[in-house]
This record gives sequence, C-alpha cells and structure tokens, in this order.
Amino acid sequence: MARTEDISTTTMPRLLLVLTLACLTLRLGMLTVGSSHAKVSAAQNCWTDVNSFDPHSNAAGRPLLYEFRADWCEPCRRLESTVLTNRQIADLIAKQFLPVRVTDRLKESGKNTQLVTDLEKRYHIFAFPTLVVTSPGGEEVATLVGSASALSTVHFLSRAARSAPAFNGN
Amino acid sequence: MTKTYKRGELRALDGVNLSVITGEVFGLIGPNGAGKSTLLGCLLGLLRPDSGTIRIAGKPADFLSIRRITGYVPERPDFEHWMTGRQFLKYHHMLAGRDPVTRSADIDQALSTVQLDPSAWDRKLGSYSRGMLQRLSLAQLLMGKPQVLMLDEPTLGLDPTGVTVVRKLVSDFRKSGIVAIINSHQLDEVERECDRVAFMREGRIERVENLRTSPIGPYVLFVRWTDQERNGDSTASIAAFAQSLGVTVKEADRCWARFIVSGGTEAAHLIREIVRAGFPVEEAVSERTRLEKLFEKRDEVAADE
Amino acid sequence: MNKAILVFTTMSCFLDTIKVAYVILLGFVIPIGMKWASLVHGVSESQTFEMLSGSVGVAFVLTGLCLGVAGNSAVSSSRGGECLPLLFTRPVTRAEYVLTKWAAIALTCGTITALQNLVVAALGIAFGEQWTPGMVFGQMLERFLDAGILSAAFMLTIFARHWLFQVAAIVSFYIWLVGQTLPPVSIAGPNVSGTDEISLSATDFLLKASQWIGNVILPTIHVYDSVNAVEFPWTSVVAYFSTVLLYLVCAIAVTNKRDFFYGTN
Repeated sequence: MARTEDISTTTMPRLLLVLTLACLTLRLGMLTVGSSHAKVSAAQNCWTDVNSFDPHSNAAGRPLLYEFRADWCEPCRRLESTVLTNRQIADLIAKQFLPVRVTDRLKESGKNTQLVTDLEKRYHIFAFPTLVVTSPGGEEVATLVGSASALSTVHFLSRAARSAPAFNGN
Repeated sequence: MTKTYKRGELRALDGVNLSVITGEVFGLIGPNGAGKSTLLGCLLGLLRPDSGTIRIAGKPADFLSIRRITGYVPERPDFEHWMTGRQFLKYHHMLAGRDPVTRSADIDQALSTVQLDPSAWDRKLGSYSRGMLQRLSLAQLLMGKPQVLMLDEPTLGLDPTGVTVVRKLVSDFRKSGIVAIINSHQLDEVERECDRVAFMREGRIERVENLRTSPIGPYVLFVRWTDQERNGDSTASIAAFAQSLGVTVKEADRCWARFIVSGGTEAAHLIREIVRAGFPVEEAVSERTRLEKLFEKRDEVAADE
Repeated sequence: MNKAILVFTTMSCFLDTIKVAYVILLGFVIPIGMKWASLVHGVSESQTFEMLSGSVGVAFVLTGLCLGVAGNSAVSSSRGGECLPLLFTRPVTRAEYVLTKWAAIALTCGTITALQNLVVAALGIAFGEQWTPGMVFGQMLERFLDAGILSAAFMLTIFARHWLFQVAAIVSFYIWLVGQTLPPVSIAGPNVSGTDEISLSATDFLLKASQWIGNVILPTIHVYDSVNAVEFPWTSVVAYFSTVLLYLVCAIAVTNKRDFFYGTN
C-alpha cells in the first residue's frame, strides 16, 4: 500500500473522471437518439379477449387470469412486450391458466361494455395493468397491480396457480 | 498565510509567517482563539488557507508523501467506540502503510511507551477514560514513525505520569532530529521542551522567542522565611546581604524578598547563602516567566521593558 | 482501494452493537417475517412486502450501516463525531477514502440483502413459487447493484453538507420511496369530471412523477428481466452506471473541497 507519489491528497482520480464523462456522454447520446417504444409482441396468441370469451370453454377447470388493460396505457405496453413475452411466464400462463384480456375503452369511446364494467367493479380495478387470478367460478384468488418485473410476475403467477381452488374435475 | 471562516467574517489566521528548521522543537502559545489550532490544521493539510503557501520539506503540506512523514496528536479527538485500543492502533499502523510483519510488536511497544494500562489494551474505546484516550492518541502518533510532529495540547487530560511520558517522548524525538510543533497552554512544559516559542494573538504571530540562545531573564527568585528567630525589620539586612553577593533586590518585606538573579546557578548560590546567614527559609521559587508575560496586554509588556 | 479502510469499515458493521441489531432487525427479521406472513395468509398485494426484500429494503439496511461511516459513532458524541480529521492526516487520499467506504458499505449491504433474498426465495419455493437457479442468482446480483447505487448516493449525501443539498436529498429519497410503493401503472377511473377528475389526474401524475424522478436519481437494473428480454435494455444499464459514477465523482469532489477539522462543520 506504500505510495510515495508527489500528489495532493485531494486529487481527483483521472480514470474515474474520464469513465464518468464517457458514460454520461453515452447516456445523453442514447436519450437523444430516442427510446424505442415497447413493441407489442405478436405472440399473444393464447390471450382471449373478454368479449369473445366463453366461460363454458373452461372444461379443464383452470383458474382464470385476467389482464385489465387499456390501449393508451404505457405500463400495459411494457407488461405485454417485456414481461408476458418472457418464456417462463408465457409457458406458465399457457399451461396453468386461461388467460383473458379485458381492455378498457372508457377514454376512447366514453363507455365500456356491461361485461367490462361489471368485471372492473367486481375486482375493484383502479389502475392498469392489473393481473387478477380467479377460480373457474370467478372468485378472486390473487391480484397484481402494475407492470412489475418479470421475476416478480413469475412468482406471483406460480404462487397463484398453486393456491387457486382445485380443478373441477375432468 | 491567511485563513478565514464564514466568508471572511472570522479571521482565524491573519498573515502568519513562520519557518521551523529540522530538529527544532517549536512551541505555539497564545490566548484562546489565537489561531494556534487553525495553524496546525493548515500545516496538516486539513484546512486550506485562503492565501499563502505552506512547504514541509520543500513540498506542499497536502502531498501524500508529506502525510507519510507527519504525525498528529489532536487536541480533543473522537474515537470509534467499538474498536479496542489495539485495533485502533492497528488501523493507524495499516493506514500509515507500515510493515505488517512488525505490526503486533510495534503496537505493543507503543502501548508500553505511553504507559497505557495493559488491561485496557483489548477493551473497547467506549470504556476508556479521558486520560487513557489521550495516551492512546500519543500511541497513534508513534504508529506512523513521523519526522514532523504536530502536537495540539498533548498533555491535556493527563495525570503527572502522563505528562512525564510526553516529556520523554519529546526529548526522544529531539534526539532523533525530529521536528515538533507543540501547541500548549502549559507554559512550564513549553519552556522546558521547546527551543523557540511563537506567541500568537488574534491570528497573528506577535513575537518569536528563542528559549535557548537568549536565556530567560530577568530571572526573579522569590524567597520567604519565618520571622520567629529574627526580630525586627529584615529589610535592611537583606538589602546589604544581597549587595554583598552582587544580587539585585527587586523588592523586600519582613518575611520575603524578590531577587533578580542571572540564572539558575546564581539562584542556588543565593539560597545557600541566605540559609547560611541564618534566615529560616520556608520557600524559594522562581517567579513569573517571560512566557507568561507575553499574555499581558501589549502596553504593559512595553512599559515593563 | 485502501485495505485498512475496507477492513475496518466492514468490521464496524459487525462489531458495532447498534448497527448489528439494526441490520438483523431490518435486514432479516422484518422482511422475512413479513414475507412469511404474506405467504401464509395468502395476501394478494404482497408486492408491498416485496419492497422490503427489494431495493427499498436495501436502502433501509444501508441507512443503518452508514451510521458511523464518516466517524459518527464516537466516544464524545456531543460533537457528532470527528474521527475524520485524524484519519486524513494519514497518507490516504480523500478519493481513496470515499471509494473504499463506498465499496465496503455496498459489498456488506449487498451481501446482507442477497442472503436475505436467498431465505425469501426458499420461503417462496415452499409456497409454490417458481424459482430457477438463474432467477436466484439474478435476484442476488440485483441486490448488489441496488447497494452499489444507494451507497454512492449515501456517500454523496454524507459528504455534501450544504443544507440545500441535504434538503433536496431527503426530499428525493422520499419521492423515490413513494415511487417504489407501486410498479408502474396508469390510474384508471370512471368517467368523471370536476374535482374527481382532477383528483384522479393528480394521483396519476404524482405517481408517475415520483417514479420518473426515482428512475433518474436511483436507476435500477432488473437482472433476470434484462438477461431474458427480447431486446437487451442497454439504456438502463448505461443509466445505472453513469449515475453511480456521477455520484462517486461528486462525492470525491465535495470531500476534496471541504475542510475537515475539529470544531468545523
């Protein structure tokens, strides 16, 4: 540790300064170039829109996974493009849930369908996106408000799948 | 060198010029708020002066290489209460970049030198008394093997044995040719240990006294005796007695007198002769030193001279 | 890096009784206890509890560890700790001091919270959560990254003593905390007008603003998400590292400029 350089004890390390400036410049550059808006992935095949969802199609008695969303909602876009596209999550949803997408159109059209309004009221939806896991009969099991990280969402879904009421039988 | 605080409102140092040579023990005295501690702070690179330059061994005070050769005993330092004495010294030994091989031995030696109670060496600093912390502070000084020492009130909080430790340390340092700057209110210690002394007041150095080349004078000896075996006024006989010895009487009364002597030898001779002359001497003590005089108002000092 | 400072700062985290108690309580007992409770009772909104095993938990642990980082745990506490002047008379540059402290605190805090995350993951597995080794590792790495940036922010706040900055730092911290209470959302609401609409818009705005501010002052990297993303999020990585470096450079600059002496501020 012995250093006998003739430098002041209040010297700023040059390397650190250069590195910092380089990073800040890079960051500025990235901001100027512009952020790519979250692309909505095309691989959303397993999601059914609520208005065309037939509850009787749930022969396997799987728990339902509602995604309450809106088209104008940026966090929803983030959830759909980065979280729901995650392989582990997509796998989990495809195997364990019946995913249903509920799109709120209040801002665009001024009103929603009765089905959407009833569902939002039933599950006390106050923000988008919200994931709600319910039993096949519709009893609320678990809720996740907001576009959480993929890691948190995996755990939420796997926990909810396990604690959802058992299948109704074949 | 100048140093101000509060955007120039408080002038802690107001044009200080100083030079200290190798092997010198230099004292700093002055009233509270004179700027002595501030000066030490600047010399240690802890405080940045507003103007002026500091050179230690030809280099700026805040150079890493200079930090390596300086040592500091702060006036009232704070310590991390969770460390033991040994850990604290290990910390400073490591910070000073000393050889880990000799670490344990160096620490034990330093603790012995400052005569810190061995039972305390492995106790947490939170349990140390003020005196013990001061001894530890001195031990920390030794960790760096410094060439330039700054001691700020080194005897503060120490009992007489502790003061002796400081005295011995300074004397050992002087023998090794180490520079020491000591800030102290203990004028007798300063007189005893220092080669030169600067008197500071209000951020300026008013005077620098050389204690070695110009001996302290006038040396005033105060002698008191009992009146039991003598009757009548001794004043006349004292005056005559002093004249016969070639010593000046500053003032005298029935039972005491103040003599002005040229030095310690003459003082000893005078006391011996007074006792031999039949005066039952009760007390013989040297009076106010020149250093104390520096604390008087400026006009009083001028009048005296 | 200075070995002495590294060793002794780490020691102070484990030998200072108050710090140890604080770390055990806030680093382990409370978050693990809350996680356990939320799993047992099947609470839906467990994400609030997850804050304590996430970056917020890291922040709380760091607060405790930083007590004494600048020498505040002193014998004569009346002056609030002045161990630094003596330290700075040693051959240590101030940059060395700041960087080593940052590293020691970040590593210690990261280790504590990463271990806590390990326990939380084990608990989660017991309750049916899906965990792969990659997820566990990613989660633990995330705690180190959180510790890195929070520690840098704390270093800057500890050394930059100007009152305006202190106020700004405390306020930003609370804003960040607010932003952490919910993942990014858009507030929905019935088609209302008047004060209700203003109230809803205001809530939405405040939440978004606090999350935006939080992302600027304390950007994070979600390791698992980043590695498994369709497009690797370089922006967030650059944002993180540039912020950490900026805080460190500023902390060093401030420490270089300051006077460190007994009786000064």
